[in-house]
Amino acid sequence: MPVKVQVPAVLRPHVGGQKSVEASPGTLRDVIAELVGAYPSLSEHLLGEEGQLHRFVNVYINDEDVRYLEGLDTKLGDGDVLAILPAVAGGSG
Amino acid sequence: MKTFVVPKDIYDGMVAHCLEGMPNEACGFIGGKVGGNESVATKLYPMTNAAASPVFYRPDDREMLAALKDMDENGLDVASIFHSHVATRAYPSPTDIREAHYPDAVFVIVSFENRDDPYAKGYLIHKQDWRDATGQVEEVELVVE
Repeated sequence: MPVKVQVPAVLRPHVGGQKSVEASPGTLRDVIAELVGAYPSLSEHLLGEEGQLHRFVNVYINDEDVRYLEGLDTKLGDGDVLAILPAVAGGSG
Repeated sequence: MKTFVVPKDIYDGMVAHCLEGMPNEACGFIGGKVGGNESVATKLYPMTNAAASPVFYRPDDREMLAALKDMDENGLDVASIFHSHVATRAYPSPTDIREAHYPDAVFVIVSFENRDDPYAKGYLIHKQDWRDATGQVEEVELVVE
């Protein structure tokens, strides 16, 4: 069973308008590499120049923020759900 | 001017949630339908401000993910992302603009500049690229009915 990747509205133009796409199980790094292989323009939206996740992108695996897991080394198994969200924040300060 | 139609119970619920959050900023989402010239609010999703700050907000991750899942299951868009300014006017701050990554959502700000008379205004924040730190602010008329 593949990993399900939920794609936010701002990134859908880069994946042919799909709300979700599938990828093979592996580490988050592997999954992102597979996505970028299939949809090259996603790369600059997800990763910084040194290959790290952009600070304005939050990535959750089964509702857990990967920053509190093992980051790009976090493993995704069969049927896991990967959610990519543009960060939400702000305030008067 | 574009409009954002907000039923009165949703508007009142949003202001009440912001009041409960004082003295910190409060936040949440409003699900609904996003249209070209008019968006419509249909469901309020109050959230905890994980930053617990009077000058910054960041919705609790789990509450936000649950809200997004509920919207997805009910065919709703993220019509609005709201938060309060506890002591300043209802206009996007440089922080609000820098952190705005949802081009179709109306950013609603509830101001408690005058504590006895809170008011809300809505804005779209347009960016050339969604990751830009700066953008153009367009006011959206809030129609409370």
